[in-house]
Amino acid sequence: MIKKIAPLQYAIFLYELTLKAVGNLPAGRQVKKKVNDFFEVLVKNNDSGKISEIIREFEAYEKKQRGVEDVEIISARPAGLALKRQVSGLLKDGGKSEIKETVDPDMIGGLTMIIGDTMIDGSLRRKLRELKKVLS
Amino acid sequence: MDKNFIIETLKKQLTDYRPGVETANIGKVLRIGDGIAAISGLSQVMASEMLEFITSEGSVYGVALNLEENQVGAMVLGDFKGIKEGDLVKSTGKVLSFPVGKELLGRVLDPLGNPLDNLGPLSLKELELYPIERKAPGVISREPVSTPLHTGIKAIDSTVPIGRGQRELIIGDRQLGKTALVIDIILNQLQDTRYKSPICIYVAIGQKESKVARIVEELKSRGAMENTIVVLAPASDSAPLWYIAPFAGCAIGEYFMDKGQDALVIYDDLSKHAWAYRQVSLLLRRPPGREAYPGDIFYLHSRLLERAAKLNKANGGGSLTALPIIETQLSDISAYIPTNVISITDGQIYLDPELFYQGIRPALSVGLSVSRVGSSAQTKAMKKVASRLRLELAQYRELQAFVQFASELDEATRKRIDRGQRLSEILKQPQYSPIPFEKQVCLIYAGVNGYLDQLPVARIGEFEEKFFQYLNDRKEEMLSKIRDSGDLNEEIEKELKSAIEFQIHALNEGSKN
Repeated sequence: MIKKIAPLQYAIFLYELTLKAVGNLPAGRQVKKKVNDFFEVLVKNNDSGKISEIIREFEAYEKKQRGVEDVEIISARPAGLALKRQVSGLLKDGGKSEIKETVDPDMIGGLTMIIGDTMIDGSLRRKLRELKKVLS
Repeated sequence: MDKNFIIETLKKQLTDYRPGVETANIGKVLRIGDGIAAISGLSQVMASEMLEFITSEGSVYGVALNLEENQVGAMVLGDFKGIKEGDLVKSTGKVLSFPVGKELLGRVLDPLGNPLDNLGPLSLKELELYPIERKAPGVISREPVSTPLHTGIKAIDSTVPIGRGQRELIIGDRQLGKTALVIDIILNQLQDTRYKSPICIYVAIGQKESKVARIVEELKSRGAMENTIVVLAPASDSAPLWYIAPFAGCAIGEYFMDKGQDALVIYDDLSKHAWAYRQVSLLLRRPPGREAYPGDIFYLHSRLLERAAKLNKANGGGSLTALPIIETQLSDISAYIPTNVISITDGQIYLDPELFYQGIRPALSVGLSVSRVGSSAQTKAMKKVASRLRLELAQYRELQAFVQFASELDEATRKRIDRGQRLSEILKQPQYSPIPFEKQVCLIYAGVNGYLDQLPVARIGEFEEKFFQYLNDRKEEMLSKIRDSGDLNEEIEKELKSAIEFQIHALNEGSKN
């Protein structure tokens, strides 16, 4: 019996496959050939249904290998350029990370950052909620 | 009011307020359904850590159960309908805990500690937080069970005595009076004055709310609610709440045990608890085992019941007695969950449908019920009369098949059957009427010493009623002697004999006229 292969394992496999050259084909053909080979393996293992999950895992794994994290900043009003520059200056990734912006008026004020799966909550809403707890 | 006073109070309250940023490990909901959520992210989460689901309608709490390679499986405590795919989930860094304290006495709470009665909110400042999952006390801190927990039920106190710190299973089919039995036990705790009354905790798992309302009403009207805490996960609550309810009840009991007090916790019932855990486990895709229960169903109940203990003096000397209830289907006590819990507990009280329909209530089967540690906790007085009671009843059971041919049997056998019938008769007891142990001793003394053989079986009930009345009116001193010494010395025995003889004589005289 073939052991079940998780989407993450496929993603790592595909990532490592793209690092090595196959034969002496030109660069464009290289990628095409590798993806085709990869698909053949998927079909052979009857795992073609996992393709969307593999793509998601691949994207996350590839970002991790480059040392890039998903960064999201949430603020009550649209963040200005100065703020964005300040935030990317704080990140020690050499400006590689893409910063996503979200506006959430319910936050009232302050700034919340999400880096990977860590949230740094500096919103006024949370501070007011804590104040309410202290006063009650 | 003075302006400065207001400012000063506010200042005082604000001394601890240090607003800063809060860092939390987060994840996103991948899937949600039936109270179970799959969450991505949460790389730092601990097993059984509390999670906060941030939804558009406010926060809902949950517990992380499955930590897998790419996702976390969690159960949602409370309403999961507001949670959507993609909602943010925050780890809290705390394990699930329950607010405990003296203030809970007389209250009805849900398994998360929210009051369900109309007595106002709990003031959290006076309560301590106890984790609902805690390791049971170790060998070093324990002590053998030595103090009786009088149930007020003749059949239990005499044949299957329960000690403080014991775990005694109550098992039987539906509608045989399992709950009625434990309610009577709670009612008896306030009238048992020889030892300090234990705090009673009644945990209702998957019960009808109407039934629990009736129980609470009954306890209130008899004054027992002031000593009782009810933890309720009604039938309409989701399975995760059923699952944590007994652990919450146990945490309350542990609080009182740690304070050096005695506590009694009743889990009504653990078969429904096992169903809830089966549901949660199957939804979390844990592999099913026998009867589709997960592999750790034994550990679920053993870790819960192991927390019942009698602590030694160095640890405060408190105790936690557990009375789990199991409902069987068609009296099948060899099913999976009943056998599990039977092997975990220190004995069981088996309620027999046949006895119930014969009119023997409580329908306790003396042959199939055992108590493995309780007899060392029995008072001397009860031990003296009860050992003979058990023997006589066992002999009677063997001969029971011949009852129809009583006239053709030899004298000795017939006598034995007569005695057995009278002893079974004195073990009958109506609901809501627990009897103090000293009175039980007097009655059983009359039974095993053959005084009742002079009376027809039909008049035993009448004798009991009048005898207790007589003891109350005339022999208060003798009763208190038995109660305080816990023993039957020769002097008391003599007085008791004359009281019984007097009563039987009075009864016989009365019937002649």
